[in-house]
Amino acid sequence: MTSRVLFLSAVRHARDYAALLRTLPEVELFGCSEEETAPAWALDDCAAFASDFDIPVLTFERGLGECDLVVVCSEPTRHARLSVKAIDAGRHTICDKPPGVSLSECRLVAEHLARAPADLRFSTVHRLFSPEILRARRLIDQGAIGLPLMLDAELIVSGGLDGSTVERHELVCDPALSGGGELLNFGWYPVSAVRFLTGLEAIDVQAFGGALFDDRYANHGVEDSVVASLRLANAVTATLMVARIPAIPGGLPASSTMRVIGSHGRLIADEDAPSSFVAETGQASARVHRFGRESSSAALQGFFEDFLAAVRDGRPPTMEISDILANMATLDAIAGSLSSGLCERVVGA
Amino acid sequence: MRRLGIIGAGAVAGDHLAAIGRVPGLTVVHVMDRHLERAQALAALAGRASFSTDLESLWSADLDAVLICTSPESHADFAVEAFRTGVGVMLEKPAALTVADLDRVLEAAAASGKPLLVGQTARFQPAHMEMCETLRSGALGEPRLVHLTWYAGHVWPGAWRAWQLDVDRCGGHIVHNGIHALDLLIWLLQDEPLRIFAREIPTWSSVMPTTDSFHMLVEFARGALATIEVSYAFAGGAPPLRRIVVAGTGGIASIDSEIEPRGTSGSGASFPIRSAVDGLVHQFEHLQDILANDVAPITTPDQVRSALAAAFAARQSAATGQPVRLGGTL
Repeated sequence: MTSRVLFLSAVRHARDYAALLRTLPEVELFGCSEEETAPAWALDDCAAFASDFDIPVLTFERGLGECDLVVVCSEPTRHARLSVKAIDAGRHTICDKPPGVSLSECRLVAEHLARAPADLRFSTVHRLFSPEILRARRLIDQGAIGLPLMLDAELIVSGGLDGSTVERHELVCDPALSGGGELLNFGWYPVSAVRFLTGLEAIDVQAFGGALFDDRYANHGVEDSVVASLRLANAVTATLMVARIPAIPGGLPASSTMRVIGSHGRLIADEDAPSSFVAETGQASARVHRFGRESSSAALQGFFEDFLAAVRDGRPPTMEISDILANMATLDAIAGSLSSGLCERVVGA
Repeated sequence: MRRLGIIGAGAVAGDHLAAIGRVPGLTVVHVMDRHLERAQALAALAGRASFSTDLESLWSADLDAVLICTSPESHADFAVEAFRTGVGVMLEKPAALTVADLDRVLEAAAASGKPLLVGQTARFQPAHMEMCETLRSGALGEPRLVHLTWYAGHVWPGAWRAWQLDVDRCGGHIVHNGIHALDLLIWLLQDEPLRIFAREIPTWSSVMPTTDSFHMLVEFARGALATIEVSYAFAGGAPPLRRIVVAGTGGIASIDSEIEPRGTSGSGASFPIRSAVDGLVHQFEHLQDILANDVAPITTPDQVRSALAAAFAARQSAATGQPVRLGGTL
């Protein structure tokens, strides 16, 4: 059965998601809608996106009224509100990450979800289906490293604020649109990966952060770099490093690695591996060629396929609202620690 | 030939002796230990070195410098005594178990005019010397973000008797080995820790007097941030994992043992990796340069003090569960 997919706003990531979704057999790109009260640039984005993907711009009411599935691709400060509208309209809903800009926003989504029909599905974009994360999870589940005891996760990205990967730098720098800095933009990935791999909730967190590299973050009073310490249940610990920096080793746009020490072994997850170096005559430098698909693309496809299967098969998606609330509680505590300077307890822990 | 004495004939002294044997211009002439047989055994390895259980014999050996290789609780007193005698000092880390004791050492060194080199061997490991050169060249601009990871499987000699498990004698693992990481970053960044947060992680045994693992978050005075993870809890003789990533305003540099050539012997032991070998040899090459050419030790007093203060702040943080702010200036 084909799902008619409506993009609710096309401010952020809509093109990447639409390009992938339209390759899937169960999906029909149905249209794009934007709130009438949205700023002109957001309405323009919606129109340009619709034109480029040859889909109609629909009124908010018609779009929500006639689609099967909504993908919320607004700026983060509208994520929760638009998700609520989609849920209240009875539509399966995928929200771009982060699912909201605070735990309280996500709780509001959860409240509306609780009142929705039981078979309505909701999730938020994640990278848990990245091949390396899946491999790590399989190894851990097999008992290959015993009980995970310590993790360190590092997610660093380079550039992108020139419009190449971030449509407008304000979408990650200006709290009025982004809700925060790079913690909120990227922190979702390692926080959710740590929980996915360990199966443990965070108890308390300490974080340091700052605008270390780019004045655009400093001008808005948000961070481009965060380091954090997490204490999880069962005395397991983790560190996180999330940053947008000038360069990445190997000239890659991003690097995501994780090391896990277990009671009976260890493992390393490197989302850029395995890879080969390819040098061509006449080219100044070698290029990196990953084995198989690029990890973020594979992760995204895995996410969409999982969600569509959840809708089709009447089961929860891999990341459901309870997972989202737990991960968001951790992100909220990290943000709280950045603000207070103190070690903060995770709400609900 | 520069004449060296050794105080303390334990395991690390043996490592020192082996390294000194590879550095022309240095010779060990006397070994002192409270156990005569241990002093004798190490002196035998040094060739024709004399040995004793008393400081008077040591100081009468016409030394250029003494290597203080005892457990940390005795470092300060031996170092002060050496400086009063007019002998230079290579002092194992941590240099003291209180900042006040360290200040006594630093004051004695300054008064004597003799050199003090603290055994922050991590500075002398090839990977870190390479990273330092890169940073000093300006290629990375201002260093702003560091991720340092040292994971190994290591058991201290002596099992439950090991002084490394006695917090009163070593300061705890976060001081005893955390100071390596803290000193390294202080040196690489040429900056001092301003705020620190630490967690201690007892993986081998929940009742260990000091933990085998810990991690730290560090904020430096000029705003740089660092994450440090140290673990001695690798199971099954796995080769160590050593990784450092330094991001600067002008670029990034990283060194990762996981992509180094390595091998395993028939017994299953992994071969040393080149990025981490011979740190002690390079440390003693530096000592030889200090003694022969009047070069200043790279472990400057302010850096030594900053690292020790940061290590104790980390210990305090781990105990209280909250970050600790440091004072002072470099």
